Amino acid sequence: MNFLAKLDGRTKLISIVVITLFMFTFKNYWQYLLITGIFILIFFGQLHLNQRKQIIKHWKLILILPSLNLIVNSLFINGKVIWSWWRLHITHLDLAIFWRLILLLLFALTFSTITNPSEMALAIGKLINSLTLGYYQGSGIVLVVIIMAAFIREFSETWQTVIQAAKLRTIPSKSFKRWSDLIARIWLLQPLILISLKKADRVADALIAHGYHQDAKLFDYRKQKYHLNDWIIYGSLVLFIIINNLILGKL
Amino acid sequence: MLKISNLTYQFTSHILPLFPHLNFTLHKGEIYALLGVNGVGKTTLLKILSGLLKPSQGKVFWHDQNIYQSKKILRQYRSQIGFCLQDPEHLFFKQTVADELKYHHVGNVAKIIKQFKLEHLLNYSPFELSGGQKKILQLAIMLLKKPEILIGDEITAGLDTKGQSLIAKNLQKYKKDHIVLLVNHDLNQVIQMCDKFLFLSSEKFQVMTLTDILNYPTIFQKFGLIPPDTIKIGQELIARDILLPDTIYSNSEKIAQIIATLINQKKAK
Repeated sequence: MNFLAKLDGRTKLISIVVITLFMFTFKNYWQYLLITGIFILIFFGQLHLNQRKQIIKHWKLILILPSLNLIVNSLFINGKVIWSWWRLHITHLDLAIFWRLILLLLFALTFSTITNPSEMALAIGKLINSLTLGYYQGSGIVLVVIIMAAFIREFSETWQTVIQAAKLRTIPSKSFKRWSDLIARIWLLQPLILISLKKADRVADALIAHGYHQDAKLFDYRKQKYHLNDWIIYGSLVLFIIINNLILGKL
Repeated sequence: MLKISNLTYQFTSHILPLFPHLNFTLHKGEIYALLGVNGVGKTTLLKILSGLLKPSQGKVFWHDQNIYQSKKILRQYRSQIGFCLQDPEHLFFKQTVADELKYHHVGNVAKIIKQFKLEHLLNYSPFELSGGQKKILQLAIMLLKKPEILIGDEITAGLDTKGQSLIAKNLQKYKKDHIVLLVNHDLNQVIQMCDKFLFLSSEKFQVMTLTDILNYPTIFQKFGLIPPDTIKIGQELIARDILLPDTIYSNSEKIAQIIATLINQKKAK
């Protein structure tokens, strides 16, 4: 198991949030370069091939969204112009936002690749539980996130199977008009809706069977100690913030 | 003839391929059983063979043509496939059983209704049917397509004995001019119903006939499965020289008949 895989869900979540917020304080390109360098090291050193493929699969999102933002921003002049053409003006701030957006998307994708929904939900629940000194249990959040994540997957899997079944049942040699094609598509919603309702019903039954009701304290969080790797990450984050703000940020 | 060449599949989230590189051929006139423990990729393989999922590596040839060569060829291939899903509800698009049977059918609807005894269910919604009735309706729908290859994913799971024998009878009839491939966890039923057995695990793949199985006592254990009673009895009797090794003993009834004949012959002597 590599360094990243050993990390606690809370550490992964806190690191992503801290780095994301921290990037808004950057004033120099080298700061972005440093973060990009760290990301490249993690990308090639800590993620296995399939995880890398999963992130790269979203290359259109990673490039198009920041590019659109850059185009819109270039219509306005936000500071010192470094390049101009027609009505488009690129400034240092535009480039910084472009770079920041790419990094934000990469971090979010990496986080979703290395963290499963249950781990993420438990991390959120535990953090809220700790921040409120155990006053608020946070179990509702955990349940909602887990059920939502599971349902999104279930819903998409059901839809995939329904589409596959439709492909098998439809005879391609028969010619259809667009209108009847559309009607046929609408009918595909029937199994999707009915199967999803049944599944929701089953989840509700399972929750009642497990004793979940208002005020029920289903979640008895196990005490989970941080691993050495987690402390290394927290230490690095603190060190990075101190170096950036106190020493190098003044340059 | 459906030929599978060097085929494997790997999920993007997995490090290793689901199963080893597969090479085998399926012929008309036989019922094939795909056997393996849960999670070994049986359903994924069925989806690949039905043209719903592109393999990560390898090819599927139908009458010497690669089914993934073009979209047109793939569509034509799919029109020759009847795939009975694990959960039949996914393919019910119409309001009544009667409408379901008429939807894109090729075969004779009236004949199928009689064959599967669906007369009293015609006005019901397919979602109102019991689990077993849904499975039978699904098979009826797929047979109305007159597919060249009929694939069934746990086609008899949850059915009562009457329903099981109705399906078995129809599959035996259908196999004559077609390929039938089944996934079924009831191994006693598989032994009775199928002619060839495709054993699948994450590392190994083996095609066997019933005679091969009887002469290879540990084949089920090798693939993580518990051998069915019929096979255990057959193997034991062969080992004690009571039964001949080259004969097919697919069910307890047949074995009992042979033993009775042997006893009678002995008495006559």
